[in-house]
Amino acid sequence: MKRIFKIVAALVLGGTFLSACYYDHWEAIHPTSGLVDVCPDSVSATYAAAIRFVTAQNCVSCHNSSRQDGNIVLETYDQVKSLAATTKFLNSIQRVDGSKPMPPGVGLKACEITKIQTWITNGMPN
Amino acid sequence: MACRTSILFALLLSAMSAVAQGKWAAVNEAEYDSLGRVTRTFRATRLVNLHTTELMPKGSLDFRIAHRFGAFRTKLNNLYGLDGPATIQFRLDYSITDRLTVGIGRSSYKKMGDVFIKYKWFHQKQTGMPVSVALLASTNVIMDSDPTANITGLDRYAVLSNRLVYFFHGMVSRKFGPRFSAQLSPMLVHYNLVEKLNDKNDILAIGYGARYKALDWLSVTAEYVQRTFRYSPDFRNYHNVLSLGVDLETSGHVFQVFVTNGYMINEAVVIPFTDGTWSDGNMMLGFNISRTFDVLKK
Repeated sequence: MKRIFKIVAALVLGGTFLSACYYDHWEAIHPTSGLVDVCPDSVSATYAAAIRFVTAQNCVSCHNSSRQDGNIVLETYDQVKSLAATTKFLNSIQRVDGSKPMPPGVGLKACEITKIQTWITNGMPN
Repeated sequence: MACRTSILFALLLSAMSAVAQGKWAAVNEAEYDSLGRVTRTFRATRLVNLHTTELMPKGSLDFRIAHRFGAFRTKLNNLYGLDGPATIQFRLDYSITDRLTVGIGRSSYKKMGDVFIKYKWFHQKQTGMPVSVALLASTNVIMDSDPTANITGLDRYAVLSNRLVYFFHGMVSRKFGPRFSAQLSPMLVHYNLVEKLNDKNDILAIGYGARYKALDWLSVTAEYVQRTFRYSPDFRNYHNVLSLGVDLETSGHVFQVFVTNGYMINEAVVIPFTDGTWSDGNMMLGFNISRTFDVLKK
């Protein structure tokens, strides 16, 4: 028993102090891969140009096909479109009283919500 | 806001310490062990999110569950956060000696796994050493998949080292009397990979903690984490963490229940990336429970 704990301690020590330490920046490694800032007016309010970047950064870590939090998946155009057709979607991201505010924490930026509203008003183009 | 809160908290700390020092004359002898070392500076190995200078006796295995409910601002429809969304952490800590503890844990936020080692360097003593000092180092692994990989076609977590976050925590505490203890903690979080060019990989913070033993079975606790420099262009969108709570002692257990704006639990994310504040209603109820087993008992 004692020996096992000594081994565990050695592993923890090794893992903590001997693992490599890096100072990497994702934008520097992949300068062209940055996710699009959807807020400027020049970004058109379509799924491909704007909405998918908002959902990718804010929704799919929980609402993906393996986790399916709340039985909701937001990975594809069709999935986002069918949810956005309900009032539930806008109420949640606008944090309307009585709705379940999403995403948890601070939520989307006002300009991201505006872009989504425009997208819905325009008939949710792909 | 953050500045005002920290000044208020400092004032509260100094006021409480003044009260506690006034009662210093009435020190209970049972506050020391046979070696003259101060005992029970804090009632548990954690205050709220942060570690304390307390360690378990040799051969203790501690199973812990930490839970944070949803934010109060979600109002009655969400039962003021009790309906979720919630975060949880499970962990197992084992004390190899009275001075050395190791532990592993798993937190739901970012699916983080962690291993830590904690060493008690100095004990506060009846005469001589005025403070207790402990050191902690942990390695944290983000086990979640890259949420943007299907959009960008690039998986930032394809390399293990990109998932690693290190956390170093110094703890200096002092028991000012039978009722009041305070702790000061310099902390460093290191991310191997950060997002933007202007993001810093190292994040420095200072933790303040205090405990006031109101009754034999009840202590009031407070914890504040102050971030010290601008480590990200989004610095202002993140906030310092304030937690206020109580430690309820029952036979062999400490049940900690508190209100906090730090919902992520794991120090490596809760220190730099807490995005809600008390003023906007983004604080939530949370609890820590633990069950300790004496595995060396014959």
